[in-house]
Amino acid sequence: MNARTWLLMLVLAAFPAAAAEVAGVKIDDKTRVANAELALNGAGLRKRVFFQVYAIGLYLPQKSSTPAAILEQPGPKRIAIHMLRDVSADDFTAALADGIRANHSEAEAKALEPRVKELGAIMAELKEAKKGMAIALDWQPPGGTVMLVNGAARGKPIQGEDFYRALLRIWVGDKPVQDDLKKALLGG
Amino acid sequence: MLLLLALPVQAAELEGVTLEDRIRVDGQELLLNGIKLRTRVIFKVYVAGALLGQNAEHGGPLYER
Repeated sequence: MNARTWLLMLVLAAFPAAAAEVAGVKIDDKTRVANAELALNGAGLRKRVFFQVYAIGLYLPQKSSTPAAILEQPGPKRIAIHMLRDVSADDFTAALADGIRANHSEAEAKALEPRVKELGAIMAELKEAKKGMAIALDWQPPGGTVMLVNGAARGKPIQGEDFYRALLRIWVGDKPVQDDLKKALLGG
Repeated sequence: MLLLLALPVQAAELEGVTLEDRIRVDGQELLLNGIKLRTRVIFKVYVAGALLGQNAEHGGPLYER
């Protein structure tokens, strides 16, 4: 350490460093790395913000505690979604499509894609899944998957029980959108 | 039957949303299997970086910015 560095250190020691404070944590305005003085460029907080998107309930003819029992169970079913915030039709459909892709092979997802688009088209007519809206995705055999908004059916039924099973897997599949949500829909 | 009528409808409640324990779809009675909130997490990340200043030994900037 040479004399100049000592002098600099003395000067630095004499003037307490100004510091930024973030959430009670002090971050010095200056620091030294490899004998170079560095100035703090910015400081901030990494925040996790939770927000509620919707409440969801699953209705079945008979209560079931495993995904397989739910998927294999014959008869009508309902996925009841109650929106707790506004979600655009695009975001809503994209979230469903992501959930289906996560739980299916590429080939399966491709086979389901036209029907995801059918559902997307019904959503697009709504423009938005608005806060307070009750959206039901029903399996109504033999007609198909029916989407209801506040109790009124929208669009045409979407064919194929494989599509309804794919929808169920978004929430109770191997890769559910939310683990604790899957658990709750299986009856806790 | 009378007993059933006398009992209030059971329902699950979550964040002000009430879902009945039983509903009818396509003429068939369905039971509520479970109810849950879908929540999302947003990470707000602020950049915390350091600007290179003067190098005390060499008296000049390490990098031209």
